[in-house]
Amino acid sequence: MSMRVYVSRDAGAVAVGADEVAQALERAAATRGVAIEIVRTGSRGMYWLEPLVEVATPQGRIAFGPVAEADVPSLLDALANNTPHLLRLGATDEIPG
Amino acid sequence: MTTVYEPWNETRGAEIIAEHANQEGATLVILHALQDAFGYVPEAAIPMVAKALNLSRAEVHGVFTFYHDFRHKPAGRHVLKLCRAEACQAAGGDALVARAETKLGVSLGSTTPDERVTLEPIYCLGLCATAPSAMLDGRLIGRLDQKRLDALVAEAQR
Repeated sequence: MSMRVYVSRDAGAVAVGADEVAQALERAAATRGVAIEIVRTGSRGMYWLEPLVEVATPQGRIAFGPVAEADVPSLLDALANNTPHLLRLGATDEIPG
Repeated sequence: MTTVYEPWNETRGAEIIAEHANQEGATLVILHALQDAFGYVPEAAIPMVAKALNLSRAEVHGVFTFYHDFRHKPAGRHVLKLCRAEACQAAGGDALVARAETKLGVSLGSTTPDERVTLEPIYCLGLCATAPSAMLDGRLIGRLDQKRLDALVAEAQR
């Protein structure tokens, strides 16, 4: 099953690097042979957390942010090994907006 | 992204005007189309637009000068706009403007002598949440700091 990831394509997110992060995710996943589906979505309006990367899990979406291009490899490591990550924000729906 | 504009040519100008003249509220549409083609709105086009739309020159001139986005003369190859509105000023935008002016050797509102970069003020890009913000050739940039600004200036100078 491929990993489904949401990255905003809102102008406010793109202005702080969402496109670069989405591309880096795609590249890094390809290098690792991980199947990834990147969904370019709208922003939740939490611009201080953009670029916000949300990962679909059976427990709902888990958010990471603000993610820089350079954070992508460590983020994928944390996801693969289920280990903590400095940018992990928990369930997106529970972030006080 | 380097934009290459065609030189002003009356026949071409008339074609552009005719293309949009039948639209509702055509003045702005035509001014945008002229600027897209020539990189600015040539003075000579104003009476042509007025005639095509059955307006006075003063009316067209009024619209043209009201919107600062319309240029009176061609811009440089790249246009770097730095936001000067309240939120960006509060987040340190003034210092970044001064830095850009020093790096490029021109003041806001002018073009470098080599015609590579036009540095312009802009009043709110709606990116207040990620202020200070800027726009390079239509691309939005938020959370501007010295490092990002230097990279933008270098990109614009290429």
